[in-house]
Amino acid sequence: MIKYLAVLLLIPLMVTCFSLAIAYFYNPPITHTTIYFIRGGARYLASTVSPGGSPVFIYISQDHSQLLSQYTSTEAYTYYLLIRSVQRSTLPSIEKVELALFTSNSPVPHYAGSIEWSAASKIIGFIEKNKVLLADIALWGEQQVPLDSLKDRYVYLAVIAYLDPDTTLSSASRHYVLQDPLGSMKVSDAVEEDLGGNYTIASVLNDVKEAVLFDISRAYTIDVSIISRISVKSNVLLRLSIGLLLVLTVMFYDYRRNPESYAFLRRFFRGSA
Amino acid sequence: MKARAIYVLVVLVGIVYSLGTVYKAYPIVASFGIIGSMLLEVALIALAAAMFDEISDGTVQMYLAAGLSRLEYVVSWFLVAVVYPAAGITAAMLVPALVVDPATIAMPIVPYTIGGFTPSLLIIAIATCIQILNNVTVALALGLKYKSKGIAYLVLAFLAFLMPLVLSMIVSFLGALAGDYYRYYSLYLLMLPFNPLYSLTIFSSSSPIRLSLTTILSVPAVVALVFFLLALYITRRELEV
Repeated sequence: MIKYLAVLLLIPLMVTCFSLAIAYFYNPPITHTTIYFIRGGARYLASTVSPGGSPVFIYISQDHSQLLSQYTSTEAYTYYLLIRSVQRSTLPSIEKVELALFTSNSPVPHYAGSIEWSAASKIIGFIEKNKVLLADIALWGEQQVPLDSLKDRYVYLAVIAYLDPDTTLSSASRHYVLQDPLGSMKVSDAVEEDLGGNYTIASVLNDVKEAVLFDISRAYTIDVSIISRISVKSNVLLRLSIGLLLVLTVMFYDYRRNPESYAFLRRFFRGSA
Repeated sequence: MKARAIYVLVVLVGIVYSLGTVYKAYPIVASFGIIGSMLLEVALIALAAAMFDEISDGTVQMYLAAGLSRLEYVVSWFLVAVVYPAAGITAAMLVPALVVDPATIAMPIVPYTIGGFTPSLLIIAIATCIQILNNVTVALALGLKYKSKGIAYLVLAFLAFLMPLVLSMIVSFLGALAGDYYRYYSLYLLMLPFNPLYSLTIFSSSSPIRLSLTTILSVPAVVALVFFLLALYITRRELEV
């Protein structure tokens, strides 16, 4: 009787050992997967002009920290945020795109409109300083970061798009399907330098902003997944050892008391020898 | 031999549950809880039906002649075919979780949510255990009453497969006729005494009929106990070998 009860506990314990060994080579299934980008609207959407005269659009998503908490963490594993990004199409008239996942202690304020470069550079600096992933995105990229570093922080996705100053607005409008005809004026012509040395942006470029960001959202696919890797800590090994020791001790004493009831084991080992 | 087959079966099914738990595939464990317990119950009845064969062909006389009472004989079959498998499956779910991280046992299994209710591994394990105890006990008790393994098969098929299927069809059909899906939702209460795993999904926090977890788990447990006592009564009063 005791041997059958002991087997009830022994089998799950042995399977646990076996599974932990498998998990070392083959990661457990992905706990949570989300694809998100510009969907859900922007929390912050601003246009500005860089000192070089390039129109710059800054997009910051809604907070995604809620999505990252959608998993059940267990002690035997370490969790990572895995981001795979794929650029599916080229982006004409755009000089550079920077994507960044960044964290913040406080929520990013809501804003939509134009700002001066001095303010924009502070925001870009803040994003650079707090970014965890995806800087200088390539055509295809995969990065991962421990989830612990994102705990209890706001998580945002930022897109910083620099428009090519030498492109014409007409070519931009052809690509970005703008409502108004913009002629053959260059983008740089739509940017004016004021007496203080700051650039101001023509309202027509604000119309481009939404179209450019929409195009970027179509050009990039970003998969965000939470993966776990085995990380057997001493506590786990201790619990496993105690469990195995207890069960094997009970079985050993039961065997000493009644060796005949374990005859099937002898037959099994003789048979396999 | 049949009893040994039950041990082997419990170990094999238990390995699947344990793997699911260690791999943190809790949603798989939860989904497998319903399907796996159904398949296990069918296999258990198929194996436990040997008891009816032993009674009908007189093999049982051999055990009784060796000093075993009728009650001990029937109780031992219940232990092997009902209690041991139920305990084995519960251990297969909970022991690996205890090793990997004890805190996860009582933690809601995010992102697995059924009807707005997020159960913990412990609740799913207890519900699976009670479902096996309940369905197999009821089937064996009624099979014993009519001394027929066919009755046992029929009762089990009804409890594990037909009742949930037929009830959902009736509720949907009548609801569609009435233009209100939830009009006849209370018919699902018929499932409460026998199917705790289904009841978890049906009477969860977002359903029109909300039942407490204690009700969902205790009603089928009490029904299982009543049928076990009934089986003992039948054995003492009616069983002739």
